Amino acid sequence: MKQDEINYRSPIYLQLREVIRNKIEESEYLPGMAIPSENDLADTYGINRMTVRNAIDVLVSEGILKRVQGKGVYVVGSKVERDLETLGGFTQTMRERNILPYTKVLVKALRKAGDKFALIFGIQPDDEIYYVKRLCSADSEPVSLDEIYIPKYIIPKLEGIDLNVFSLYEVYDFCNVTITKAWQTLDLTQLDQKDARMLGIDSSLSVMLFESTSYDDNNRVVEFARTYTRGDKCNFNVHFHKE
Amino acid sequence: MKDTYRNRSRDEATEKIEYYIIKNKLEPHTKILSERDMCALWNFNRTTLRSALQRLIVEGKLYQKKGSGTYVAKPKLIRNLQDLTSLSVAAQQSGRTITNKVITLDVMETNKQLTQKLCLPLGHKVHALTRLRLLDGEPVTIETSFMDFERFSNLSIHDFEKESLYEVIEKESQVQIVQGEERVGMAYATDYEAELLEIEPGQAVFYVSGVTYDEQGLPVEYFKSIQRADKIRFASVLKR
Repeated sequence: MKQDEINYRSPIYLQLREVIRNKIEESEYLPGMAIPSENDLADTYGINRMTVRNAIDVLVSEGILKRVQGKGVYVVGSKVERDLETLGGFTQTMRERNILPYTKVLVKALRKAGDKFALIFGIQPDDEIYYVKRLCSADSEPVSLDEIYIPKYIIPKLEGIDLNVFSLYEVYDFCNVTITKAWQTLDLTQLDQKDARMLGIDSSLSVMLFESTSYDDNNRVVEFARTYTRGDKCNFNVHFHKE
Repeated sequence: MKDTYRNRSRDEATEKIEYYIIKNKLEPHTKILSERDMCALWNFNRTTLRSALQRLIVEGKLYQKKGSGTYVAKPKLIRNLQDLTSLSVAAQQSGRTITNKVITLDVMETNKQLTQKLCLPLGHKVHALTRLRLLDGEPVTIETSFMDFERFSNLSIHDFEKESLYEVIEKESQVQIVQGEERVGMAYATDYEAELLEIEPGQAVFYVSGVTYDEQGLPVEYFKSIQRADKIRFASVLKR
């Protein structure tokens, strides 16, 4: 579907897309470098400028290239590689990869659990839970928008803790909460306009939605989180085995 | 506490509807209450309720039919990323069926990418099997598998609309596929992929690629697939 079916009979814009992709893979075009202009590419390959633009558009939407107004088209550095098997918060995971993490808390509020979260956490609908919404960036580019729900009884003092200073995993550590496993699902969805803008994308684009339910060593559900991740910024790796 | 919780009422409405579906054990394709009834029942205004419905529709939990109302969507098929359960077995376990359509079964020579994935020299012959896979008759994934031609020379005589690829490999070549690694990402369907999958061109899809290995750690298959995100969801268990 991607590379191998491309041959001389494929549409020219798809062939050109492969040419550019291969040059990036082979490090002829390096991250941070501008690729030749649309006119140059059109001349080099003897094709129409619109065709060149189509090929570039596709690579821009895949996050491989980036248009800079008035300057040209640049190669974007490789995506953040994350795995789907090791527990760890955003901050810790990014640090391990030598990426500078930054999280900004947008909302931190106490609310009633309501029927849905009472069911998820095994508490009463009138019990209180924390709702935290935050924006996570890597190397100063927004990567994900998180909505996190934590029952109040798990971290009664969360109210006084500055989550711009401490990561949630650090807070769990202070409070002797040991998260041992999480069940996570992955879907694609879209964000409303405000949230999309915050993530720096157009609201017509899809994002990856991770929903995870985390359990502690006493098998209590301690956290439910929804993470909306930009698909052009991350790849996820996983190993699988015969059971 | 600081900060405003802007979407509070929309979130509340969304949660009410989700809980209402769970509590009443509503089956897929069941019609839910009308907008007017829901507003009256939970005391929400129309705008709030509509934005909650919209969110659940985008997430694939509900769908709407013009002039007829809102219905509970059929749950997506859950694929566990960490075991080797094939798509057909995963479907079977949830009472659904996978059928296959072979798009192409060719012999080709390895290019640079394939030599790296399969640890074969450049220009080595490989099988390239592309299948369209249907869940209860609906196309859900396009999957291409590349395998060493010499090592699995008998593949071309099999009918992969009827036989499972892994079963054929394991029987014919006495090879046990025991592990693998894969990468999950997002892509936008090309015109060709969209036509096969019966979706709109440019719609967001999962792009999954990976390699499976035998007991000796030799690569058996390099695969890549485009999967419909409105029909399939992935799952995994995270551990310390």
